Amino acid sequence: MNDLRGDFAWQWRWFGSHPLRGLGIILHLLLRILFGVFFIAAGINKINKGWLTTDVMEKIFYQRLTELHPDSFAAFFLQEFAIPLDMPLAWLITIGELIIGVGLIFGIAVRLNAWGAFAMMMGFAIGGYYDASLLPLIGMTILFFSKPTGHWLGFDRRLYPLQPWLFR
Amino acid sequence: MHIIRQIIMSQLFIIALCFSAFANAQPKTTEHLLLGSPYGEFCTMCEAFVVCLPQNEAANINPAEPPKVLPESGNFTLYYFPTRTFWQQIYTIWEWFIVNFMPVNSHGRPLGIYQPDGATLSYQAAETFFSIDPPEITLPDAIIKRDDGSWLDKNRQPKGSCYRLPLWETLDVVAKRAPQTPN
Repeated sequence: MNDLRGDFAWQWRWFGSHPLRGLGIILHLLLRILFGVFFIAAGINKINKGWLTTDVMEKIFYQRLTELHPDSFAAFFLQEFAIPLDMPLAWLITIGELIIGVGLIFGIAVRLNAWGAFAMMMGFAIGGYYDASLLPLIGMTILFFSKPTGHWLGFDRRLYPLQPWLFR
Repeated sequence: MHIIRQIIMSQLFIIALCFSAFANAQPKTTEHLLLGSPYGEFCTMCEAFVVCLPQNEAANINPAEPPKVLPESGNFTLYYFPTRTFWQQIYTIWEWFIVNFMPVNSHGRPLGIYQPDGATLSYQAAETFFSIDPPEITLPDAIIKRDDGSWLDKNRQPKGSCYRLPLWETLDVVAKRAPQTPN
């Protein structure tokens, strides 16, 4: 077997005999593509706002610092970690969002990209940018990580023989 | 294979659409507005206090030195803008998504209204509505113009001026003067 699709196939006959599973796969893929578009949008917006070329990230961190309780862990995290590393973080977040977005849309290293998105959002939460919208987004990354969606639709199926741990 | 090719083509179309739409998406700065930010609208998890003073009291205030503490007495209204509710926070996923295609100029959030009641402050929970265009905060009993801080009644007649107060210091004051409220 050179992919992880199991008995799944893009055939009307398969969808006819597995209607619920088929619906689940379609919804899963739709969610993955929307999530990818969301990340690409976020990355492009950051480029438009000058995240890669100006000190906007540092300003954002300092503004957030005024809104956080001075004794909170998030304030400590921003002061001791995020602000000194503002430029590398700006690049990591912006380029990371673009890579993750493209990976999820095209089904390239979906599980690794889902893990990257999960780590990024956990970082946002720890860094004082927690809000409830992260919950469904984190839930989606776990969903993408749990299933071989890049083998249902995407390049992971073709790339899997080259590097199984990366494209599984 | 034919279906897969069609789906991949549709994905490429989505990407092309994204890039064309996002390439023109301009960040909307609201820095010049009351409770604005250089990076967009008043943020989901931000909190703020705004005190509004009637015209006769606001007339004594030097615009270059706006009040930094809540008045001990007098006729004022203190508006507290807490973080957005749980479901409003969830809804921001859609707002962040759709803002790439069309402007999102307004959002709702909870509101606390404090008014002097002897030595203490009375509290009332309500809802408020932030708007960038027009730049206004719509309150149950009034409107705050975000460009100049003026305080209007429901008929849009001037009734005073509003000033942002420091968050943490004001939270301490409110905790002392209105201990029965959520703050």
